[in-house]
Amino acid sequence: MKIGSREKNFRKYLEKHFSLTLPEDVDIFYAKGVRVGNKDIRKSRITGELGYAACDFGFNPTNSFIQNFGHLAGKNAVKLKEDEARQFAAGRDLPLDLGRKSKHVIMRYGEYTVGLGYYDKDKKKVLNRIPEKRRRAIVN
Amino acid sequence: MQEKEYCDWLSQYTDCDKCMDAFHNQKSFFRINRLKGSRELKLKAEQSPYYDSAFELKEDIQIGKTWEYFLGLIHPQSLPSILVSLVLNPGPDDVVLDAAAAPGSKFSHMAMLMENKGVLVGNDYKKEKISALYASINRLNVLNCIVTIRDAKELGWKERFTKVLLDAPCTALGSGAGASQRWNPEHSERISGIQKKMLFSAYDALKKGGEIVYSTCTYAKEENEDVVQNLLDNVPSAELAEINLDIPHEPGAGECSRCCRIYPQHLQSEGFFIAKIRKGE
Repeated sequence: MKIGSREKNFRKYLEKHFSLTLPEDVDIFYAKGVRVGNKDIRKSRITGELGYAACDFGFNPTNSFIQNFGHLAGKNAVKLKEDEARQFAAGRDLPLDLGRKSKHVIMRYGEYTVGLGYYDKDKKKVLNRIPEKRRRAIVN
Repeated sequence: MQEKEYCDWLSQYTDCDKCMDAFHNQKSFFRINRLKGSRELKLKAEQSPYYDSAFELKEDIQIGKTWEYFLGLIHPQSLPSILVSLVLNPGPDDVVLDAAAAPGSKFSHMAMLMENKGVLVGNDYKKEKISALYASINRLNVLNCIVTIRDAKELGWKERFTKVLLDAPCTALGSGAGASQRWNPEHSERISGIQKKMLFSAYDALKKGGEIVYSTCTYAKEENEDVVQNLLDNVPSAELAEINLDIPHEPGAGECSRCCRIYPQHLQSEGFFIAKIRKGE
């Protein structure tokens, strides 16, 4: 795959899978991986790591990207109850039946985007994709 | 014994008893992260009279385990540390360097002041520190950032940035536990040489007409006024600028009276030193 097409493919994936269109001032670009940032940093001639990772090499979105932009998604978002949201934030997988197709899902609780999950159709559960260091046993 | 000696030393700068008492009874502050929109907070908190995005936590809770922290809606940060970025006050059109950016508190605050626009370069030297910086970037949604790994003593940039922040590594006597045990005047002397090199290098990176803020979270003159004065003495284009923040503080020592010394008793928070320097044409 051409490097230039990776960012386009990720954008297409976001639109098709999550019905998610990014705001105009947010850019997706390839710079040692698909990254997200503003338009100004691409024009800069300062050499360094631009923005932060939007997805991995398999086009799986990062948890951070989803936590920051998941509120814009129109589909494949799961509404959680309070107890489920707390469990998911703490890093647990959630037993849920979301149909016959495995897929990435955005886990929401009220207006909060809790994080990224992966629905496993065989296990009938949403596997937790929040990185270990980000997980928290929420106290409020 | 060490505590008494420390107190004698501290008394040359401020009232030691008031300073130590406030240091041991600091309030908890956090900053709203407006890069993630505005949401109602569940936390019990009171807005600071000095800055509308700064809040004092009014409940006994581990802030790092709250929804607000987890979702990147807030960032725990001492009030003087929050004020440092306000002194530099970068805007959306600026190209900004944070020369010692990790773990990213002031860095992410500057991104917020810049409304995630312009260019904000976060530099640090050690890989472990860079991962702490990235944790802040990811959680707080910083989109205008470029991360670099360079020795702040030898940054190698010439007149590239409109604004620069150097929050220098220091003896941190105004921050963290056990200051009197950690206090060692020789350490301040040693680190002062490093800080001077860092400030020269950061100043080189600044464009003409630009501004640089130098800050530390310590009290020693060797790490503060001496570092600033060394630059002023050796670089004719450098001039000390007024800090226009209406906050309780004491002026810097000697010729550096335009600098701010914020002691724990001023804001019931960490101790900080802040200087703003302008690069003339």
